[in-house]
Amino acid sequence: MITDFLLKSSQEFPNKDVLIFEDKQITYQDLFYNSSSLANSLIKKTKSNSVVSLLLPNSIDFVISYFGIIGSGNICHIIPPSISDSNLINQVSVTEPSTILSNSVFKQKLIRTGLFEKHNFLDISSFKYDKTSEFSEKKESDSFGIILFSAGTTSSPKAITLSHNNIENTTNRIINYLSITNEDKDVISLPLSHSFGLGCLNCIIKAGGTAILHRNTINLPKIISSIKDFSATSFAGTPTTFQQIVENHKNHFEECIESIRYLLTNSAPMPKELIYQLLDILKEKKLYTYYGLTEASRSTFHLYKKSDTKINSVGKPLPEVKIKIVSEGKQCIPFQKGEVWIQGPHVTLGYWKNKSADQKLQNHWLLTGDIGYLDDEGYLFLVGRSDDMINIGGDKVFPQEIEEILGSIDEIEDVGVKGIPDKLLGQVVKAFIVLRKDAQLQEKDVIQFCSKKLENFKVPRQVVFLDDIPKNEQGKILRNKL
Amino acid sequence: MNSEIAVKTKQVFEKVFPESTNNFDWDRDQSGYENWDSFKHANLISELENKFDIHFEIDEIISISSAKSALNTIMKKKNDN
Repeated sequence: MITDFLLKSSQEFPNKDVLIFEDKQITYQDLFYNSSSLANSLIKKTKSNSVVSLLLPNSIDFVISYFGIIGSGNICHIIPPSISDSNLINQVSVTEPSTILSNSVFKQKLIRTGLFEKHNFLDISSFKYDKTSEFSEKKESDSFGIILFSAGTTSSPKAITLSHNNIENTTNRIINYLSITNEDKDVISLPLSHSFGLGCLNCIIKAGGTAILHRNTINLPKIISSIKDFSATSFAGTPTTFQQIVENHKNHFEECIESIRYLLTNSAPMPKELIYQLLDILKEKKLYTYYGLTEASRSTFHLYKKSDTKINSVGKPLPEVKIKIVSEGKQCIPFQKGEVWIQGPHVTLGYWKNKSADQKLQNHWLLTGDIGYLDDEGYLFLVGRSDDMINIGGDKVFPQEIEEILGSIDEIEDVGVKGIPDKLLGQVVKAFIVLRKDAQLQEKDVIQFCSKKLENFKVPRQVVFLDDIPKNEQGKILRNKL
Repeated sequence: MNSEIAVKTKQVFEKVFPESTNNFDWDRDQSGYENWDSFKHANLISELENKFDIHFEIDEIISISSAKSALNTIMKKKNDN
């Protein structure tokens, strides 16, 4: 079980700090007691194997709740705190949780969306812990432990199930590859509601190390300082975060990273120039990237080097992971481009109540939808999925999702969306709109409408009104002409 | 408190955080908003820069953690100019 990570480390290092968050910290023993106390309370309130939704920002309460829900024998549906009201309603209607675990800030969101009246609500901030608890539930390794929703970039978001075995396998593989030990201290500012951040948390707890947790990446100088203050050994971030560090905080970063062993990045292609700038700063310290999806986390790893002839690669598959490239039903030869297929014990067993999505799994192979090729040494290179993808601070969104929402506005006749550069996020969304005759829609109306339907980062920053949207003969939008 | 700057600052916060319009609080910090994340922060900064025709420095961007701190930062910038 995933909770065995915490159980084992709390037995070996009971009085060691497992988490440091803002001005608080918690030891392994107390995290174990609090999580198991919550687990036992949930066992009394829920049927085993039901879904319990977790809606919290990065915090000690998040980690207690995560292990508490899983320790209760239930499935932990992790909801991103930035979720839009309509997507929250959609996710909860799919997972049908017996309980929603959150806090007083998000209670208002649940009331606003009508979910508070329909579901049991547990405010974790007022939960009374019993210090003598222990996990009493045991689960089979192939039973579901977690549900995370896909970003919904190419279609509607899908509920991805991850079994206890999936998570344990991924965690063990990362720990082995990165040689993570109980001596390590990992600075985590990535959202724990995302596979990237959650993977970092699982690894550091299984290894018996310490996580220096941050609420988000708004205050980068503080995050950088925490590396020095706590002698952290690793730090993971999106390319956008590292771009901001190099551009705005380079000197401070150089002063603070003496204790660092490695940096880890993912979520978007890392520009070559940024890789070289980071390698110059890091000197002998290591810089890794990896390739994975929520359905098949951390499938490859790549260690960047200055003399790297494969700097555009996302690396080679890790042990037990198989990758093949398939085009028109046939396996490709080296350098031939096709769809990336992944197989291994870390690959999801299926999607939650979504038979059509399960077609992405064929004979235990995950059909990723990503296009790439393997070279003659087995290194994977990603060509992309779509040139249309917008990368907003590491979060990916496809224009079609936003166009669909905008197209539902009666006054809008046609719409096109693309990414534009932004100094803080790398890219933000710009919408181009053709209004119906006599329509009076304004930019603020469009933004207000999207704010109710979409996550924060997907809401257009700019709206432009046009006479027509440029399209090709097949009717596809020519985004480069927008 | 400069009333015009305060009114405009409040308008920006209500635009960026519409769910908090009914219970606006100058002192509420980031953790008191259900969705004041990195993305909303970038939106907030952009909206404030456009509204007041100013440009925040990195340390000012980071220092804005409530409506009151935004107001203070804007007033200081206006006074310095």
